[in-house]
Formats: sequence, structure tokens, C-alpha cells
Amino acid sequence: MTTNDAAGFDEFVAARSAALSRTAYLLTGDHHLAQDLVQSALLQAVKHWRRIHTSPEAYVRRAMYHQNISWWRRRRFTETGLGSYDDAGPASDPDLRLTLDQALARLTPKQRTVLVLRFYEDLTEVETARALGLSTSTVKSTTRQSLARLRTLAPELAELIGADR
Amino acid sequence: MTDLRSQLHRVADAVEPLPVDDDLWQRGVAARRRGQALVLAAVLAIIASITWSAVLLQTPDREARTASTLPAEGAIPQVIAGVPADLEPTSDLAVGRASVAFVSGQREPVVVTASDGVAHVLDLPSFGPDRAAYALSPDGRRLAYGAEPDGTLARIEVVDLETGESQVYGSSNTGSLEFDALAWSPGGTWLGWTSTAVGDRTGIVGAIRVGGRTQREVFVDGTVPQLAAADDGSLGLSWIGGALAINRPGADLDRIRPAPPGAAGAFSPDGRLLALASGPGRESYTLDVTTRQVLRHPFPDDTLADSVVRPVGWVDERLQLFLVQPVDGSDAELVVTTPEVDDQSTWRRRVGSVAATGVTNLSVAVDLVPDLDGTSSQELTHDFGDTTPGQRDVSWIIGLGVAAAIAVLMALRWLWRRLLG
Repeated sequence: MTTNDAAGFDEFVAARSAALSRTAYLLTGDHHLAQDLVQSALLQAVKHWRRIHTSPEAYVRRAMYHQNISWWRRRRFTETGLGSYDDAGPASDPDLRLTLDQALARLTPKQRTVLVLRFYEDLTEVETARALGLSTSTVKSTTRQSLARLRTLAPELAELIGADR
Repeated sequence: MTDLRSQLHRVADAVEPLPVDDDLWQRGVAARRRGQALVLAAVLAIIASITWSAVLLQTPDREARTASTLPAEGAIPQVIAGVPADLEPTSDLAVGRASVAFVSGQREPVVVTASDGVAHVLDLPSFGPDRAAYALSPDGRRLAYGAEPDGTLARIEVVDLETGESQVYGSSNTGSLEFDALAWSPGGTWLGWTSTAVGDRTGIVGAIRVGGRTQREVFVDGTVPQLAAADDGSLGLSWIGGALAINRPGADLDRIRPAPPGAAGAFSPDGRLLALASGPGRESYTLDVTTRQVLRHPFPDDTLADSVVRPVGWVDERLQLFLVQPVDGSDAELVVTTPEVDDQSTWRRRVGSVAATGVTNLSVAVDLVPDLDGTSSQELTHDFGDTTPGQRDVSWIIGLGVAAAIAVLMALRWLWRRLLG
């Protein structure tokens, strides 16, 4: 790895770290986890920097998606059980942003990731499936389940989410 | 759904850019190098495992596999021991060059092949009932034994161990002749034999030119249980009473007086010296046939206790190989030495060991003893390990295979992640 590589990497980080941070936060719902996620994905990018011939950002984002789900798989047996995700969240919060934030936190990382890719990254179902290594039908069903769960968890979001589809 | 999209952007936009460590690039490069080193190590381990396994599979036994010092012509086994009672005799006598021959505890004729140290029980046709006349040539290629076929005269058969073919040599005497001992000359050109006196029949000794038609027989008074043959056809004869005589072709018996302190054992290649069988004692003896002088070489201090010493052969004109059997019944050992002590003398013990039981009438292919290089670390015999059929140790092969499989799986995992990454 040459100095040019390092300079290119620094340039990439300076230009895109803010965008990556936003996506990482949406994926994790936690600033510390988001920071770890970004750094981990960037570290992986460094290891393969010379082989990333197309878009470094696409590589890093994809690494973040997979890393987030991978972390969740490792943690889920020691942390909150899936049952709690079905409980309705507190509806008294007047701030809609916070309510959406809390509702997202109660989704599984897979559901949250699919939603982020579909509605924040604006990827199509096919692109989402390719990015996550899933089938298109899985993406469809996961999207449907995620939205339904959001409606259950935060009824006041129903207007935002729209009808079941 | 547009609202959800905008709300997500709102949530995201509120996030401040997260800090990125300054040394991230250096850490990534270091991690990459560690990964490359691990991959390189795994590849080398796989290559080494595969190469080693290939070598192992082509080598018949564990010790031979690790023995880089095994000469191409083979070697004498470091440990000479009896064979299992259930070892199946082979009628195919072309077993290959042998290093050792002996009669087992079950009275079966055994040879140990020089290339692999494996013992073979031979199904020798009409091998004499007393199984005493049995000798391997110094080069290990021929095996002589006394045969006593039913209804016919006793004879000597010489088996070529590389082809399995036999040559038969008979005696011109008739009657109840029994061969009691055989002795090869150092070059394998002559084979001496003796037949002790039975009843009113006098003893007979003879010499056969192997591969030729020349042979002679000499009637002797009394019993001559031990003899040695020289490459000029001379015989060294020892009587039970201790007398020793030299019988040269075309000459009368030449009695050595006074009687030397041992029996005829093995002539040196030039025929000038005759190593003597003696004991119990703590020295070896050699007769200078020309001067009639007895040369002696005492065991070095604090080495061997009182032992019976039997010449096995000569490594060259100077070095002798003795089988030294301690009288306390412990295992015998092979000793390389010189006829006497001088400024160039040698005395080296533990060249090989011979089990105290289950090994009789031992003869050794002394030509397989390598030339001494002057170092005490030189191995004159070879450790073939466990050569017992069916006892091959495969546990370490299994272990190596498992290690190789793990290495392969790790490499595949790395490759998989690399391709997907």
C-alpha cells in the first residue's frame, strides 16, 4: 500500500464519513454502535483498498449492512429477546422524530436494515436483495413485516407509514 | 411512504458526523499484513503436509520414512530380535538382499531383509531337523543351509535371495552324514562345512567353491563343531577339546600349538588373521595365522562384564565384528573392534543388540556395515523401528491428516471471505 493509497483513503473518509455516519446511526440506533460500525467497515475497506476498483462507498456501505446484522446475530442470545419487539412502545412522546427512533430500535437489525435500504438509501427491492445477499421475496416479506411492526409499536406512525401493503 | 422516507432523513440529518480514528489506515494495513502472513503460513503448512504425506505413503514403515541415513543397499537392523510365533512362512525365497539370518525360537529359519528391516520366515525345502547348518553370506545375497530330504542324501543348498533360485551341493560320502555347521569365506567364494563324528564314523569337514565345481573333504578324528573358511579355500577347524588346525587346499592339517584361547571364528579378507570365539572373559582374541601369535584386545574398563565372544565377520582387513553375549543373560550386543590395542585401534560397543532368546545360529551380512568415518556418532546399523507385520503405527498419520484438513478448511474460509468481501 502506497502513500497515494493512504491519501486516497483519507480523502474518501473526509468526504463521505458524514453520510456514512447517518446511515450507520439509522442501522444501529446508537451513536457508539454507529461509530464502531463505520470504523469497522472502513477498516475492512483498508484491507482490500487496492482491490476496490469501483466505488469505495458502495463497498463500505455493504460492509456496514453485513456487519450490523452479523453483530446482532452474535448479541441477540445475550440481550433482549425477540418477544419484546412486539410490545407497543410508549405513545406519549410528543416528538415524532423520537417516536420513530424508538420504534426503529424495536425492530430486528434485519428488518431495520431492510427499511433503511429501501426508504433511506432508496434502493429497489432487487438492489436491496443483492446488497444483503437475500432473495427479492425475502426483502419484500421483510419490508412488509417491518412496516406492520412499526404500526403496532407506534400507532401514531400509521399515517406516516400508510396502509398495510 | 414518502413521509417515512422524509422522517428517516430527518432522523439521519440530526446525526453529527462520527469521529474516525486517525490511525485507521495504519491499523488496516497492519491487519492486512497479519492476514497475509497467516495465509502464507497456512499455505506452507498445507504444502508441507501434502509433501510429507506423499513421502510417508511411499515409505513402508515409520522409521524408514524418517531415516535419511539408510544406504541404498540396506543396513543391518539395530535390534535383532525373535519373530512372532504366528508369522507365516513364505515359500517365495526371493525376498531380496538380507542383512541378518537366524533360527527363531520356534526353530524356523528367518532372514531380515536389508532394505526394510522386515523379518521373513522362510519355508526352506528339507531344512535339516537340527537346524544348525544355516549361514548368510557376508554380502547378504545368498543363504546356505543343510538340507536332509527324505530318502536321499543330505546336501547343502545355497539360495540366491534375490532370484529365489537354489544351487545344490552334495557330499561324496554316503551314510548318515549330517551337516552341523556352515561357514562362508569373507568374499563369499568358499563355503566350509562340518559334520561331526557319529558312532564309529569319523568326523568330516569340507569346503565348497560356491558357483564352481571344486570341493574337497577331509576326514578328521574327533568332533569339529566350529570352523571358519578363507577366500583361498583354507579352513580353520576347532575341536571340542580346544585344539585348532588350519587346513589349506592340498596340504595336511596344520595344527596350531599351543592351542589358542578360542575356537575358529572368522578369517579376515586376506586370510592372514583368524578371529576366535572365546569366553567367558573380558577380551577378544585373534590368531595371526602366519606368525601363530595370538593377538588380544581387552574390553575397555567399565564396559562389558564377563561375556562369551563370537566372531561374526570382518568389516575390512582391520575391523572385526563380534557378538558379545554377557554371561548374566542380558541381551547380546555387536561390537566393532580391532585385533589388538595400538595407536589406531578401535573398540565400539552397542553397534546393535541381539535378543538373548529367540535368536540362534545368527549370521550377519557384514558387507552392509558402512566404512567408519571416525566419528562416534556414525550409525553402523539402522533403527527400522517396529517392523512387525500389522503393527504399523498410523495414529500420527491420522493426526497429520486432521491438521492438514483444518488448514485446508481455514484456507477455504479465508478464500470465501476474500471473494465475498
